[in-house]
Amino acid sequence: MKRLISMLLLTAILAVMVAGCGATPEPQVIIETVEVEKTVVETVVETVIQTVEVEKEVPVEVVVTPTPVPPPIKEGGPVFIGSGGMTGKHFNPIWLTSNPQFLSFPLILPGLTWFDDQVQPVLDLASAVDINEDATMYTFTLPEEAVWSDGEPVTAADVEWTFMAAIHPAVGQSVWAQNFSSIIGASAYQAGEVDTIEGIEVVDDKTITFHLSAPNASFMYGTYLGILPSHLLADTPWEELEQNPYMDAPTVTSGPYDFVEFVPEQYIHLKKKDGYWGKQVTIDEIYIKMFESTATQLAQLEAGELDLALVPADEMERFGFVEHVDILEAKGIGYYVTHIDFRNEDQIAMLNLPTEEGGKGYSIIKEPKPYLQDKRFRQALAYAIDNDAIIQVVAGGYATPIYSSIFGPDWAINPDLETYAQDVEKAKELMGEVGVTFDDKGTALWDGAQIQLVYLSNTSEEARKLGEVLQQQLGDVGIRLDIKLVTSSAFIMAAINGEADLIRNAGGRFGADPSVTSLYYTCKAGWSELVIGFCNPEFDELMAQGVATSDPDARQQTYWQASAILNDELPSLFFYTPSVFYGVNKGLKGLAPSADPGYVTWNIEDWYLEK
Amino acid sequence: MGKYILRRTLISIPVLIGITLITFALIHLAPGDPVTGMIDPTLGDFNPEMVERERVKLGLDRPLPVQYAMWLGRVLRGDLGYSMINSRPVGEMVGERIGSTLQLTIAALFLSILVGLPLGVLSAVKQYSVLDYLTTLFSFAAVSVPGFFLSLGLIYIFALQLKWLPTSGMRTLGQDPTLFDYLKHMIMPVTVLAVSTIAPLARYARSSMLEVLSQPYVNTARAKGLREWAAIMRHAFPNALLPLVTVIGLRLPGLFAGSVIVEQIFHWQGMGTLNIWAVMNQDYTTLMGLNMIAAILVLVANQVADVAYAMVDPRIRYD
Amino acid sequence: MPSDPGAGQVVRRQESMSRRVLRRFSRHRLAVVGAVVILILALVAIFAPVVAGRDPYRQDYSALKEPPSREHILGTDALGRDVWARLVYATRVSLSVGLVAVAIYTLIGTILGSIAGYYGGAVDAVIMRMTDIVMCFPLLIIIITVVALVGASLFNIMAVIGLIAWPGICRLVRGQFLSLREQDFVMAAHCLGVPSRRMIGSHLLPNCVGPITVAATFGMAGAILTEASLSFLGLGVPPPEPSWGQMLTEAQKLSVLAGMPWLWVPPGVMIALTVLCVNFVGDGLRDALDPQARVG
Repeated sequence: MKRLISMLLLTAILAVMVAGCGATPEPQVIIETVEVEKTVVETVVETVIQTVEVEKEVPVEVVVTPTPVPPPIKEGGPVFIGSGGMTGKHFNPIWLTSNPQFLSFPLILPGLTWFDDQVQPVLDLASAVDINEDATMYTFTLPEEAVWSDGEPVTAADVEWTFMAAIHPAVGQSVWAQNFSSIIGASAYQAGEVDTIEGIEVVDDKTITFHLSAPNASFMYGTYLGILPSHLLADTPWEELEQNPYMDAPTVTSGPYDFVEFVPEQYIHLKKKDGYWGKQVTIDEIYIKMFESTATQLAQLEAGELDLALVPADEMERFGFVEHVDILEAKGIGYYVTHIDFRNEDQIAMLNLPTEEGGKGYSIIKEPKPYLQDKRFRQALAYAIDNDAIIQVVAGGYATPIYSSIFGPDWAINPDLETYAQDVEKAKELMGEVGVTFDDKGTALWDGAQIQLVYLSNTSEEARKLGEVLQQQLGDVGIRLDIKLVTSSAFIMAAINGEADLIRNAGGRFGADPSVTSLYYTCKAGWSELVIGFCNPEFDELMAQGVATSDPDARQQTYWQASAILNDELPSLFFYTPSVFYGVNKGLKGLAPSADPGYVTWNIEDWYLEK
Repeated sequence: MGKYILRRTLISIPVLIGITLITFALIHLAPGDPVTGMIDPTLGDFNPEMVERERVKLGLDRPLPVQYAMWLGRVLRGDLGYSMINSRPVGEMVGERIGSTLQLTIAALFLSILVGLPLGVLSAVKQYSVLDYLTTLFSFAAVSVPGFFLSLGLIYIFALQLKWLPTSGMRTLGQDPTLFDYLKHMIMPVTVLAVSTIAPLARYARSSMLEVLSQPYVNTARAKGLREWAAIMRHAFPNALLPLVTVIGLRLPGLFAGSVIVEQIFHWQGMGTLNIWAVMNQDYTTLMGLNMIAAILVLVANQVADVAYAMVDPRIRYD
Repeated sequence: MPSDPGAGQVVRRQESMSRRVLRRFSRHRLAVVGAVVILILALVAIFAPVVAGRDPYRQDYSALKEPPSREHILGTDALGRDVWARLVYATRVSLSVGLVAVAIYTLIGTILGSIAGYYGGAVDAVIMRMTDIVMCFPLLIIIITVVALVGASLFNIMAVIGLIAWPGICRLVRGQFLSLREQDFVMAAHCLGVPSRRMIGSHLLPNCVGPITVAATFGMAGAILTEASLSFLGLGVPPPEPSWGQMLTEAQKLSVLAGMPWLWVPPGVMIALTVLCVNFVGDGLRDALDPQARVG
């Protein structure tokens, strides 16, 4: 018995010792003695009658004690940036999906273009771009002096190879297939029918031209793919590319920083390159820390262990009192809506068909609700809801209401949209027109039974709050709303399978350019086809026109019309676009608060540390 | 006894296989799979072929029994496979994290024994005294607070207000790792974990100590002229430790599982966070690997506890 | 003790077990206090509408996160709902989870544990292997999977906690049975031909009641805390039902933790108080039921 306990104790002690191995004694607190130039007033007696006081610089020994917490950022860094967790199979631009990657890739593996703080495309690796008259040819030029960290030059061949890899049948990812869809020959390559992409032309070592099958004024919204060193990777067979260690540890880089380390779920460590050919940066070292829990991230910001972190709206007031943190605000470009699932039987049947027959191979069992098919009912829902209350409760008041998904840039906002200001009477009236009856308790009835809708979202707190507000407001017009919270990975399937009628969605880059909306609401767009069931040919036509021309007036007219369609048909209930808040250590200067947190490092060369 | 241990070990093998089968069935019951979690509907003209291709790569298109057989085959060869979400070897991920979790849980167990045992014994010896009431109150109060609440409270007080300790994480980045740095980061999470064990330990210690103290042989020891303390420590105390073996035994599997919430809040990369990450993302291979390792550990821990119990209480026979 | 007048003899009735237990229990002051508090809480849960006095579900967007006032004695929450009313209604959720879940798993655990401990041999082996299997699955993970499958609801959560947590009690009971089995009184009863059911029921089980109640009371505390943790992860009782755990998750936000104590202190206090009282009661029961305890 005693032996058992002593054995346990011994094992425990050993375990703790092993865990702490590599120990060095605690560093002593050093009192620095510093040479400081101090201005000293010396009295000089001159032969002239007056005594003159002369200021003279005299070196003086001064004892400097290290300042207590919060510690000022050390000279040159390291700078600690807080971020959410990383998703994505590999730490590589092809699998670009989450914030830590957005923050780090432009620093190590820049793409031809990136995005500025208004989320407008800017040149990054490319030094110049030439676009022809009708936006069907984009020619990018790489800087002459551009080299990889191993000395090899960055060439157009690298660009071509990377683009091919991004949509290759064996390794490519859908997002790039989407972004490169207008390049001639891209879809054939993606389907594995051809070996090269016809529309990519390598003009010379530093020049590359993209030929598009149709005019596309928004092509540069999709060229942000980080360029990879083909001289290291082109020899690997495509099927084995994912196993190549470079995919998780990009040791050879072309950006202003060197890749030091990527510790999964902990941090990414980058170090400034010496003698870099391109952007000159001042910050020596950067750590991007990844957090699952916002509370932990904010605590670290407050304690001075993080220099930059996203601050949610309802923590704003607190950080107003934290001395060493500045709050920077940016008008967001994401949306906050609930999609309405009003797919009809034919659409669902189509989705259930096997892929060979043109379907998607799902097995959706859903009884479509006839009243949702009628846009008047959906408008009634909008009238029943008080958008201002939602902004107050869910976004803490820090948001701008929106009435369609085309709400930015400013020129794209249609001023004549219906705001659906809360009007319960009007809501009931519209519902009545569709065929809904109300009993004497105010319950909304369809075919004699109360109308029941289901709200679906992930388990985050604001999603839950939105559900609860909707529950009450829809309850006030007699509709019963049930709330269904699922984990993020189950969310998409639950939405596709029709387990809900109102599906919360947030984010996206709508405010950057109206063309983004076509990713969501055109007939074949993922959300429309799979979940909402919205298909308006006129809308599709307008969205296609919008990218075909660069004439701002024509674009404005087109997008205003498209916006009006969305506002009238209401495939989603549009709520707001949230502002984005960054908590920044006062010593870190030069940041431009970006409308999308992923792009806040875009102007890294402007960042500097102030004592 | 030896035969008993051998028999138990042999039976453990089919039990283990049974556990993996159940795990396999459970994780496939949930709707979706690792690939659907990665679907992004904003991708226009949504391409089912790319999703299908990913599925084929991961072997998810094969019938379920085949998938299970393939997994089992690999495991028997010592290969736990690769995560379906980030392609890292499962064994490597577990190896990285198990040490971190053990750091916390063993230290916590240690701490709770160090604090709980004496508290319990003292309470029993001085039953109904002020000390007894106080320790009762304290140990119950400590266990009544939810883990996440205590964690946040400690962070608020010690890291934000008093600034004595770092808020979270396993070490301070940007500095060289030192033992002292590790220890500073361990204090709060270990305390939170220990707190939930101190109370039951103290209570069990107290109740079994009370039982033993009322035994005749203790009175005999006193009658023999032994001082009170000697009587307690030499005669009563060792026998009172019996149920403690059960309590510690029950805690053993938990040592390796870690606490999801504590690890999440204190940003501690351990088994708890790995587990929940794998569940949330439906990472089948990681889940199977994790569960199998957990199963093995539980089986071993239970066996050790049973054997220890039999060793400690000579009246128990297993036959 | 009144004697039986009809018999003509003096019959000294032995003090019945339950009276003895009650008497010893009432000596344990903390336990009595605990029991009274639990009783009050149960009444609050049953008569929630009366005690709350107002609607816990009604959101008032003009009064978000307001500090306590005459209108709202504990202030309002992030959706403008009265905190006091929600606190009262939440009693129902927390108490039901605690009681039902623990009842389920104590029942299962005790039955299986006594069978395993008494019969031994193959039966014991099978049951023990079952506990091994169930213990391998961490509770949180199972709940997440179940929630994904059938959705979160009060019932589902109680059922899952109950169906997963029984191995602990089972092993405990079995352990007790194993050591009791070899004791003299058991062997004696065996020789006398006492049937198995009575052996288990009247001879062995009563000796286990102590550890079982201690385990069950800690279990109830644990169930209430588990519900709070589930709410923290967003998997608890679905809205609009309030639960203390769910109210407590507001404290994750540092601004609430530091600046709006009326939002989290009441539910925190309620959880702590309930769990505390349950534990006291358990402790008192243990002292009262253990025949050998050194009670004055």
